[in-house]
Amino acid sequence: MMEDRNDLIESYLEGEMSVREQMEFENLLRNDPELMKAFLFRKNLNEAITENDVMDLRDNLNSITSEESLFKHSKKIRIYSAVAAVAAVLIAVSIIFFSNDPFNKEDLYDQYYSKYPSIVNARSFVDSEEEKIFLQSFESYENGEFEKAIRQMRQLLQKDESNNLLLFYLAISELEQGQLTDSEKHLKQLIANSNHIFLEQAHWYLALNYLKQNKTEDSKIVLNLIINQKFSMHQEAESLLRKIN
Amino acid sequence: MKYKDRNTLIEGIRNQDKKTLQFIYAKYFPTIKRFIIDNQGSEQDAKDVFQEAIIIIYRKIKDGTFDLSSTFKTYLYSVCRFIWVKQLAKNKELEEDKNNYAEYEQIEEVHIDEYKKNEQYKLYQIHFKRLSKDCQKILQLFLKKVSLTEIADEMGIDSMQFMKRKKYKCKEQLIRYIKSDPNFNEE
Repeated sequence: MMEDRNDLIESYLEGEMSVREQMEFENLLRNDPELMKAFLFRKNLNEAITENDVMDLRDNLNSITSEESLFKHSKKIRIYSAVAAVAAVLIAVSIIFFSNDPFNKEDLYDQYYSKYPSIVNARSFVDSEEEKIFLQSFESYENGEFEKAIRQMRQLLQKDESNNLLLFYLAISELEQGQLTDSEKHLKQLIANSNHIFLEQAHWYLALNYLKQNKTEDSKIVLNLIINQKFSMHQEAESLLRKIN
Repeated sequence: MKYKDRNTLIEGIRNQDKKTLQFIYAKYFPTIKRFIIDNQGSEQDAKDVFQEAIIIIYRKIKDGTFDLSSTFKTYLYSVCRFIWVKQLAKNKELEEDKNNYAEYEQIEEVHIDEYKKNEQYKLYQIHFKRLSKDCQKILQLFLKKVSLTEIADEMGIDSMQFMKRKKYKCKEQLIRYIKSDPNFNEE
């Protein structure tokens, strides 16, 4: 029944009815509020989907209002490409160092550790004080001024504690500065947050952190996890684990 | 930023001139954003409100019902305010904070007749854009009363039966999308 009514409406709207059928349909409409409702819905829908000018205008405005937030969008894109780039570099590094050096934790740490590259472009658009500090903190990171980076990132995290991007770079900066317990705490926090793109990298840096802290057993547990989960660093983890054992 | 008089702005909106739209956005959006954020909205809410306000103004210009007695700026802010108050009213937990309006004294009360229609059409159009390009094209060609043979030619399809069935499926798909949208309200 519903189907028939809809077909009736469509054939009226498309002008497929004879004059007589049209008159009968209009009569039905006047006496059936439900039919009228369904009719108006389909009539308006037809009008809406042929408003190409309005749809174009909305697309235009959409692109204008999102140009400004390039800051936020491009950030995401850069992170993904950076993750891929770093994975490639580290695989290369691991192949170079795939040798049977005697086991020395410090050396191993230095061999396998490399600072995660900054993924934030300092020329990005800035429209608030926070974004300014945000960019400055990554500039500090980039320039190896980790103490400054740590201060700025902690300040930002006070306001936005769920920002995994900041948390990740803070943990790396702390690792660089030898603030190992803070770094460990933040990496664990990242692993607990789980739903972000730094999850696999956070495991890798935690394994290195443990190694540096001489917590060899803990490091082995994390490395095994990386291998079993086939995380992006699993080849490096395997080679490092072999050397520890 | 260069000054543009109101006729230039109106003509720019009518012609969807990108430079004019960018100018309007750069010049007036910061105030709109502050207003929305001060009244329980987000930056994204502010962008949505700004976009729909420009579309409503565009509709008025096109219909010839755009009657500008105040400045363009005042009018734009008023339309944005109207839209946002309506949105807040939809969600009863949020109530507009009238005290905040003091800071935006230039915002006058206006009534926008086009609001409801615009909201409804926006919903239909957003779901229309979710359809495949073929579906969008076939539905529009049918509605433009292009003959079946021409549509078949245009779409590179030679079976009329198939064309009609495809059109039917596209339309029903669109209606399913719309009816499952929580913002849909059949009135």
